[in-house]
Amino acid sequence: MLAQQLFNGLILGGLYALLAVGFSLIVGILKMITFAHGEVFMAGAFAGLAALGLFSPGVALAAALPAAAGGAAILGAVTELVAFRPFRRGPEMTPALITIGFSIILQALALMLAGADTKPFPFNPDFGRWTAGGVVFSGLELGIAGLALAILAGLGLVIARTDWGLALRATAAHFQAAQLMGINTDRVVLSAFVLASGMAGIGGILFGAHYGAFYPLMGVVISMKALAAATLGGIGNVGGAVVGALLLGLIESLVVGYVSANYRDVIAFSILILVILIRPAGILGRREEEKV
Amino acid sequence: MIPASPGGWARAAGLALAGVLPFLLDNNYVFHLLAMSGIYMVLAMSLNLLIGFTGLFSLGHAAFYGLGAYASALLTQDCGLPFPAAFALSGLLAAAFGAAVGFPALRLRAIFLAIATMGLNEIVRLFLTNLDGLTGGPAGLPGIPEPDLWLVRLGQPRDFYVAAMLLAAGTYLVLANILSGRPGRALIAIRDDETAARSIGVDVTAYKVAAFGVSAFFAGLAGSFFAHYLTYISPDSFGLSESFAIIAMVSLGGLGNLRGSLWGAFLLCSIPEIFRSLQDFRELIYGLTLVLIIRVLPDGIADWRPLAARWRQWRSGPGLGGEGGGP
Repeated sequence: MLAQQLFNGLILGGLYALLAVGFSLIVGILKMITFAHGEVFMAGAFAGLAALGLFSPGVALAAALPAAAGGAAILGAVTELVAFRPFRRGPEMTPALITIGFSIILQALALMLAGADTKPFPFNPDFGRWTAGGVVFSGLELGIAGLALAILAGLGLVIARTDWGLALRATAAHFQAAQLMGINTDRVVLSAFVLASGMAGIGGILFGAHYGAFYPLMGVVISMKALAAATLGGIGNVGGAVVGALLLGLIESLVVGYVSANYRDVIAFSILILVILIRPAGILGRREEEKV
Repeated sequence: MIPASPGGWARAAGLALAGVLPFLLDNNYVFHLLAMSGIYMVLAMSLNLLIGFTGLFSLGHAAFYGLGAYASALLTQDCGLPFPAAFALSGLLAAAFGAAVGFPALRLRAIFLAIATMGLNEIVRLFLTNLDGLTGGPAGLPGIPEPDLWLVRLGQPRDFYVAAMLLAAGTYLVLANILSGRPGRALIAIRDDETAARSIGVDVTAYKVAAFGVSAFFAGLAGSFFAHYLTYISPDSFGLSESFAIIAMVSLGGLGNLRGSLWGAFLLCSIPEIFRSLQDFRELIYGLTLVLIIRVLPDGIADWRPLAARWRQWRSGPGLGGEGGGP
C-alpha cells in the first residue's frame, strides 16, 4: 500500500514538475509571473489530442508529443511577446493581469471549440502491466515517468552545460549586466518561454494519457499545484522546482491514501501559503533582502 | 448645485435616471441586471481599494465575498438573526478575515501576494465545498430568507435594484471619503514607493491591514446582499473565476479610479446581456477586456490619453517622438 502510494506520488510529482520548472524559469529570469501556464498546458494537451486523431495508433504517440510541445510553445511565445516584452520594466502586476486575461480567453476558446464534455484518450494505451513488491506498474505509467525524468534531466544538462544555459543563468542573475555583456536577452527570454511552454504542453498530453481525460479546465488546478511546487522548492530555482514537485506529489498521494481525497487540494494550497509566509525563498532557496 | 463640467452633467443625468428608473420601468429582467450590477460595483470598488490604490495585488476577492454570503445565510437560517444584524455581522466577519489575511501579507512582494491570495481563494472554496454539514457542500444552501428591513420587506427585483444602488452609493461615498483624505494619500504613497512612504512616517503596516479589512468588509456586505437576493448560494459562485471577473471590472474602469469601477462593473454586467447573442461569449469578453484594456488603455476606459499619445506618435512617423528619443 505504502509503496504503491509512493509510486503514484512519483508519477504525479513528475507531471507537476513539467509545469513547475516552467514557472521557475520564467520567474527566475523576469521576476514576473504568468497565470496562463495552465492554459498553455491545456492547449498543448488538445494539440496532442488532435494529432492522436490524425494518425493510426502506432504512429500517433510519436506524433502527439511534438504536436503538444509545438502548440504550447507557440502560445508561450505569443504570451512573451504580447504580455511581457513591452512591460518588462513596468510594475510586475501588468503582465500578470494580461496573462489572467489570456487564461480566461483560452479557456473560453477551448470550451467553444472542443465543448465542455471530457474527451477520452482515443485508444487504449496499453503497454503491459507488472507487479513487483506489491506495487502495480503499468507500461504507460513507466513511460510517463521515464519521459518526464528524461526531459527534466535534459533541461538540467542544457542549463548547466550549454552556451544557451550560461546565457540563461547570466540573464537570471542580472538582466542588465547580461545585456551589457552582449547577451541577446530578448532571445533568451523568448526561448525560455518557448521551452517552459513546450514542457507544459508535453505535460498536458501525458496528463491526458495518464487520466484518460481532456477538458477545457484541465489546466486550472494542476497549474496552481505546480506553482505551489515551484514555490515550495524556491521559485526561480529550476532544480528546486523539481524537488518541490516530487515532494508535493508524494505528500498528496499519501494524503489521498491515508487521510481523505477531499482535502488533497486543501493540503497543497495550505503548503503553498505556509511556504510563502514562513520561507518565501522556498526550502532550497536563500533569503534575499530587498534593496532600496 | 449646478454641475461645472460636461462630466458633471453626465453624472447628474446618470444619477437622475437611476433615481426615476423604478417609476418609469416595469421590467424585472432589467431590474435584476441592475441589481447584480450594483453588487459588482461594490465588489469592484472594494477590490480597487487594494489593487488600484494601495498596490496590493490580491487575486482572492471572491473569498471575502463568499465568506460574507455564507456567513449571512447561516446567521439568518441557523441562528435566526434578523437580516440587518446578519448583514452587518457578515461584513464585520469578512473584515476580520481580511485583516487576518492582510497582516501576514505585509512583507510579500506583489507576485507572492498574488499567488498566496489565489491559494487562499481556492482553500475557501474547497472548504465551502467539503464542509457538507455546515455549508450544504457542492449543492449549496437553498431557502435563504429575503431581507426583512422591519418597515419594508424586499421581494421584487425592483426593490433589490433600489437597495443595491443605495448599497453601491453608500460604498462609494465611504470609500471616496477615505481616499480623499490623509488615509488616501498614505495608501497611494505606499503604492508608489513603500520605502519612501515609510521614511516620511506613513505607518505602512497599519494602512495595509486596514486596507485589507475595509476592502473585505464591503465584499462581505456584497456577499450578504447577494445571498439574500438570490436566496440560494453555492461554492461555484465564489471561485477564482469570480475573482478574475471582478479584476476585469476594476481594470476596465481603471486601476486607482474609484468612479471607474462603477462603470466597469456596470458595463461588464450589461454588455453580455444587452447583446443576447454574446451570452455564450461572456467569459471571452471578460478575458478580451483584460488584455485589451491593460495593453491599450492602462488607465481604464475613461482615460484615452495613452491611445491619443500612441496615435500622435504613430502619425509623427517612425524614429520620432517617444520618451527614449532626445538629442
